[in-house]
Amino acid sequence: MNWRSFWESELMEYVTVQLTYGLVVGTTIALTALGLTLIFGVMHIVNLSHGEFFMIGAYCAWAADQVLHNFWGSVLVAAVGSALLGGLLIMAFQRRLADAGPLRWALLTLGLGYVLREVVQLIFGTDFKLIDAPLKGTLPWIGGIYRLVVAGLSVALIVFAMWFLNRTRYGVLIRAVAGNREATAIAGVSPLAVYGWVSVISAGLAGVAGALMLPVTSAYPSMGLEIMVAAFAVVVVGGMGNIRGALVASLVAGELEALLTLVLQPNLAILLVMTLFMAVLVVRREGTLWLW
Amino acid sequence: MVRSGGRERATTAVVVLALLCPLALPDFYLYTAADLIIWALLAISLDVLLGYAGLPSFGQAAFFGVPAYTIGIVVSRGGPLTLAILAAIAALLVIAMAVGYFATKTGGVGYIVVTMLASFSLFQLALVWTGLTGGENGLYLPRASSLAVLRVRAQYLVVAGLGSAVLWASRRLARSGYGLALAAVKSNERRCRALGYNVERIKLQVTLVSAGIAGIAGILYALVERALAPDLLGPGLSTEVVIWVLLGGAQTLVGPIMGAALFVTLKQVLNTFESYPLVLGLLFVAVVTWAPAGLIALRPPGRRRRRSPGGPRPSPPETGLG
Repeated sequence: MNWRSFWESELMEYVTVQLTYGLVVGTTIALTALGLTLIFGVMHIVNLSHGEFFMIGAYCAWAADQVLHNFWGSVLVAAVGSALLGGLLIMAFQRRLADAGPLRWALLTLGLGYVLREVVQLIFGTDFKLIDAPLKGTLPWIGGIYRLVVAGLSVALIVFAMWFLNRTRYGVLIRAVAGNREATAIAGVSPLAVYGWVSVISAGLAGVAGALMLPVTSAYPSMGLEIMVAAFAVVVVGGMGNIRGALVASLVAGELEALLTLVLQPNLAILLVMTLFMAVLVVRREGTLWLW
Repeated sequence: MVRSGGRERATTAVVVLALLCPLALPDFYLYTAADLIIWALLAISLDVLLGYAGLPSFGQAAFFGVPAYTIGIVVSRGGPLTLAILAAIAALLVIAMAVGYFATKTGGVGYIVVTMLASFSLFQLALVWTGLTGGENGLYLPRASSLAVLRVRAQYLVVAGLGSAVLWASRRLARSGYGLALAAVKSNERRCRALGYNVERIKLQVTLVSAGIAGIAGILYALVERALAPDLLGPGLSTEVVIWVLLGGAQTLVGPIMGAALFVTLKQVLNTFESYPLVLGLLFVAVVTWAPAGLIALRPPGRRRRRSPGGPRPSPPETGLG
């Protein structure tokens, strides 16, 4: 087969469609991972309930869509809902566990995640909640238009979040607390207020990602766990607290997973990517920063 | 360190009670009791790791499910039981070495992530690789090549005997010089390193020990229960073990045993009660928030030790979770 016919073959179109899908998966992981790094960098919390806000975002969007019959409005509802819930939950325990170590926070959030999963199962049951894609139609070489829109929206959100952190006054405050909590407090900024903002933003980003993925993967109880494992792998590979590293690693993970799905079962593709990441972790620890 | 006279007596009482069970209980309850001991072993394995060494393994089910599945796979293909047990030990060693190596290499948060990842990946693998694991249907061990060939009473004695031996060995380990080294690594890793301890090696060793205990529990589970499902490897069970250990009281051995026994019993009694896991999770959150030393450290209000007015408050038991 010569190159020209390969280029025009159906196989090639499969590949490019998968590449778009990889972008969707990658940016979704990136949005979730962004919240994870943020809350770890600023509050030093290993938030093992983070994935559940992704799941709650999806379920919120589904429930809102049943009432509103308007998908984009539902995404907004889901974002606000998961952001508020996340902020309230973390801040409710923040006072009590103010000087608790990271292990106790990890245990607490593990429990919170477990509870959230059970609550959602009690309310919605364990079956898949489906929804029609709000934008129908497909493009050649790309696949569903909705997927392209999701990828674009996610990229825009990530860019906006980075701008917010790097360029605005609130972003500077957040980074200041992350850098030196005491000095910021002395300078007259309440770290508690910043913590509140960070936990709201963190859960909100995960919630938006979940809501946007609702038409693609539908909503089911273990979706939060799945995305959280990926997000954690990405965050650790990118270097805890290193946002740029996490973003690059997310895109690599998404594309790899999507491409491997061409030849393997989806679950096996994820496994392979995770194993690869574990290997990268060890190599990186030994001082080779060859990925970025 | 905590003075633990009461805890010593409690441990002895647990063992004596467990070994006396066959005299008093009918067969059905003995079967349930054997089940409890197996889950208690899994709780002990995590307590050694999380309680004593401070290593947060949130994927403990991997060390439990892998040997159990290996036995199932070998036996259901007609292999002899001895071969199955040897294969299970080999598989456990491989998985424990791999997880332990990656987890200690990445350290800190990495330990949580790698153990979680391991449990999650193996769970997925068990679901996907249907030819080997039976997928969602799981595996059934034939009666002939399991402990079911023995009478229930003898079965129970095997489980209780092994369980008591593991508990005794874990207590010896915790109170030995090595146990002190573990406590040292837990409380100040950098100082240990400065004193010349090979912290990475100690962490890997204790991960292997813990995996070994979990593996014994897994092998017993396969041989007694004879039905294997992917859940035995999954993040759900991994989380539940953490809950048992913390609820009972980490770093006490007896606390996690009580935690496991209490909650497995509750699960069986309340299995028609749909929101049981929710109650368990809420209780766990409450314990981590308000009583991080676990239920075992709680005293009924009337029996609180009197302290001289103005004297120092008795320090709360050390949990290492603060």
